[in-house]
Amino acid sequence: MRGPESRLREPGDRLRPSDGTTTKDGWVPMTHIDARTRGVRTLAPILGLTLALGACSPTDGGDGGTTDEGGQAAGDTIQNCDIEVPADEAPERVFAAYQPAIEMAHALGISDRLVGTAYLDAEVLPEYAEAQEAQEYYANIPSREELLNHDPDFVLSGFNGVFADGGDGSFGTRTELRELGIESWIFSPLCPSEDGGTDESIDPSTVTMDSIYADLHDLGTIFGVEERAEEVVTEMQETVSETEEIVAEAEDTPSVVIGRPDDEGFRVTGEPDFSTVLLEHAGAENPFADLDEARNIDVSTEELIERDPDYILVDVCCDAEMTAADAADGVAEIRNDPALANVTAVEEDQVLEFTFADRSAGVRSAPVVAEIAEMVHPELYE
Amino acid sequence: MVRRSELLPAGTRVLGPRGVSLRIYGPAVLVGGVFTGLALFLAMLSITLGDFDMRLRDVPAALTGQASPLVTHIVVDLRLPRVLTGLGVGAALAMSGMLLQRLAHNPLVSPDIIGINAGASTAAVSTIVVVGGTALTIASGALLGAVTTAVLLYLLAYKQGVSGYRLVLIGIGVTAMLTSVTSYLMTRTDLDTAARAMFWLTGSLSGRGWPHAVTIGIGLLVFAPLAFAMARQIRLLQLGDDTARALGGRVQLARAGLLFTAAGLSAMSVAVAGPVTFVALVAPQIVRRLLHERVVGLLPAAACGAVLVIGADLIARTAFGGTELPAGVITGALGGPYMLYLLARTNRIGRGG
Amino acid sequence: MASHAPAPAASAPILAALRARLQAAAEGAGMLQGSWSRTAGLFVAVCALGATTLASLLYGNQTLALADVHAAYFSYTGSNTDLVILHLRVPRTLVGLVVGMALGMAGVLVQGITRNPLGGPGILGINAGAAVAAVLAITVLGTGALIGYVWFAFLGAALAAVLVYTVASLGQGGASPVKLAVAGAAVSAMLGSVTSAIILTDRTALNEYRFWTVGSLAGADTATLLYATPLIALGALVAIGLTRTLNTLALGDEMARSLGSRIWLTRALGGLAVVLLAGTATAAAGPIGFVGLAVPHVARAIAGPDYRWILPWTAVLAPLLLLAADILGRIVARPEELQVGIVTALVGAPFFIYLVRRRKLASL
Repeated sequence: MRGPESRLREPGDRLRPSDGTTTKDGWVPMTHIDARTRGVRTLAPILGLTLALGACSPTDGGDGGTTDEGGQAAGDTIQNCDIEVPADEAPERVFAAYQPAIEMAHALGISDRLVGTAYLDAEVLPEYAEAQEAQEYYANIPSREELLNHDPDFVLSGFNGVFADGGDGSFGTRTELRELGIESWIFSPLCPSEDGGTDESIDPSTVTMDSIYADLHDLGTIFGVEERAEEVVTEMQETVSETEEIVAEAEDTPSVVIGRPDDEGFRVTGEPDFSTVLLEHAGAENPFADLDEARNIDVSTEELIERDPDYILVDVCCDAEMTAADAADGVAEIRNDPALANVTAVEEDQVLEFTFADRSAGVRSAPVVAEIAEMVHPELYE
Repeated sequence: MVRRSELLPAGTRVLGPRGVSLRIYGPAVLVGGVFTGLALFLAMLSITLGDFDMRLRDVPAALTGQASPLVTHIVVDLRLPRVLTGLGVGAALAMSGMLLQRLAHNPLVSPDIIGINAGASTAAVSTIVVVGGTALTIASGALLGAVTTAVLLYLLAYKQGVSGYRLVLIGIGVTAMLTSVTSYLMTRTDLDTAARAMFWLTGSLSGRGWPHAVTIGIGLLVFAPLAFAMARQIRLLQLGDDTARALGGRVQLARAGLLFTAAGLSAMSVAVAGPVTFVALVAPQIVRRLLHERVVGLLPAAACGAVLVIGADLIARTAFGGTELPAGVITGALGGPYMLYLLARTNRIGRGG
Repeated sequence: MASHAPAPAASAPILAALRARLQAAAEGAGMLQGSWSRTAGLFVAVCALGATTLASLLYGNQTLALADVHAAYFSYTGSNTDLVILHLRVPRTLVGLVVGMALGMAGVLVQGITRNPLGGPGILGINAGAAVAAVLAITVLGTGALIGYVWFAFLGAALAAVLVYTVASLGQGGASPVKLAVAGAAVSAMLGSVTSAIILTDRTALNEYRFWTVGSLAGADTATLLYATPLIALGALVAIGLTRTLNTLALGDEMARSLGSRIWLTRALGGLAVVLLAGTATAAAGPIGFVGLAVPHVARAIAGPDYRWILPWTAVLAPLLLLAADILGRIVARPEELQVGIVTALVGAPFFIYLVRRRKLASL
């Protein structure tokens, strides 16, 4: 017995739109996949017996393509996490999910091709505010049906959540979306171990400024806006190198905690978080960089006192109206906590407002590097 | 509503298992019929409604393969298996709750409380948070967690047999440990992943496909007949632990069988949909307050559970403007007030069990 | 629907119930028998609690000496050690003591009133009420740690308990144990739905909630102590006043009624005390469920079924468990901390299971 979905999957071309769109000419049909291997790999042993009756599941991941990291143009496709994304015909109806994806779409000048946006952590950068204003926006990830209702031909995502093979809050895996004629892009190098994996299956500490530039170049090619992409990259590189030149003059490397007070003490960023990269470019260091197990870590108030940071950047999260000013409560809480009176950041009045969105790798990362440098090296900017 | 001859004076108990006989009991058939009809109606509605706009006649067209591939995908691959999964999960949870409540003489006892769901949850959240699991690894993990916990519970509670009371207390301990591990995992992960885990923990049918429907279907095929067969033993056990002990080994066997069946039903449903809040607890209670105290009402309870889950899912995926909520958010909101209404209105004091 | 009256005059069932109860009490008598051994045992427990309290002041991120504590109060220099002692360790320890005591006593009351072994403060909707109010406050009033919304949490807990009690009182027979339990579960589920709906659509609220729901003493400060102590003290007084009646109630509603107890009054006062105790504790430290649920069973196993012994034993053992768990949580995962709610369950539950297996616990 085969699941009814096999009617759709097996003759792979059945889903091609009847209007003869050539968008998917470049994609490799699934015929090279060993169906048995796929089945065995994804059917975990416990459910194996019962689910075997369901035959191949609609949630299978992986297309077994080559495994080069990062995007590389190969003919008229660009590889993105094991998936060949066609680059010969620019997508026209794009759905962008998460802050970095939405801002990158605006940066590339393809705002008019967006059919929907979802899940902002903060206000978009001021230069994109007007473009974002015109968009349909969902505060949370919409349902798969709602996505399909927009008839998109491309999903651009900052994180893996929307492509998770986990049901809840997912548009479906990238392979599944392709079967419906929808191409997709996940910011490199956030490649899950296989299609359908979530952000828990990736190593966030591999993200650098260069991965942002690579994404910009690749997406520029896919959307046919190579020149615009080059401009954005150049501008970002200039901002970062200017900042680095300035902070090279600094006499010290201040220790900067990015985090916020919570019920347990403090939630701070550890080494794998992208903020470690940002701090490095801005001539600062994360005093909790020795904690490398997770991006966010809870430490006790006593621990914070012991590490005695020079600066504390209070990051707030998460909705489309959030700005750094919303961190004011957290800043006041730290300043007024009698237990923290001897901490340098409090003594020197160096507890500052920040946002969670600033910690995600994307087009805003360059201005954020400059912003952090100005915060923690005020003497160099006088 | 209640036939006079069925009423027994307060405090009287019929001793001896021979006093139990099968009767076709009118109100039970009526209540069961109404709930079943409602469940089927909601199921059809669920296949028709959703965020994806389509015409009514697209539905039969999709089911017969006449519609466009996209519409066929929506109806056949997304909505249909989801609806079937919901019906199955609701029925299984309700039956599981009914058996456990009767077994332990306690209206608060449900798989939510005695640890089976907690075991499934800890395993599933570990899968989500630690390895970033996919739909099937999450489901397998949950099933493994549920079964392991059920076995562990039984072994821990076993001491010359298993008494309902000891089982409940051990369940409290095991649940507390497992829940704290789950909460710990929730605090250790990123917000995105925490949200995904929270979805699962509330109990959700989002993205459930044919493998899920088949799994819960098999679960019901295996365990539902067992449940109906075992239901006759329930009255034997309702005599209380002390009396039951006097009746010896048969009681132990019946109790183990009931526990096994309830655990199986619960494990299968929690594996496919997560611990859908409140269904196992409230569906049996609703039925018990509509029917006579002595009627077991397994079938009406199952239908009631199916109505709750499928109705909740319908609301959860259509009422929030393009974003889905887990069905478990709505089961509590639907079942809670109805339960309170029945509680306030009914003139029966209500016993435990 | 035909009604069957609760048969007020039928004495045979009452006598039978009394006999069964006495038998159960005999079987379920505690490990310690007789007033002398119970008092001596309690004295030992109090000493253990004292030692744990001291340890809570000294152990943590840094191990301190008694002299440091003394110095913080009598030769204050404003050093980090002084600040840690005055503003972190001392309030945290005292809040742990008070909250532990409150949770335990609330558990005793709930189990006594509902005669349900699953009775914890959660059963009256307290945790669900506190959670929904705190989460609502976050969504409506903006960002901020949940601990900042203690008054909302307390109010939510109180309103939920009143709702549970009111619904359970409607209909025939008043607030019977079964109706209280079911109404509590229904209200909790309803409020839980609202909480879930909010945290699943508002990430800010989820981000706070997932930490709050674990239960922790780390956020406790002097202000927490100042508002929590009087409320909890008041609740404790009511609880102490009720112990005798709880013993009567344990015989069953009918028996208690025929012995002249005003059951509804006991239940109402008990409910009030539970709100004061558990509502305040939950507002101060988050929902720490296991303490109120399990410690009364442990006290019952040690001291027998008499509530005049169960209450003091619980009031000592509960903070002992909570503080010991908190100390452990501070040192095992450095530089992170394990929240006290987690450690309490992980450490307490195996012991609890052992106890349940070992003894035939007195049923309620």
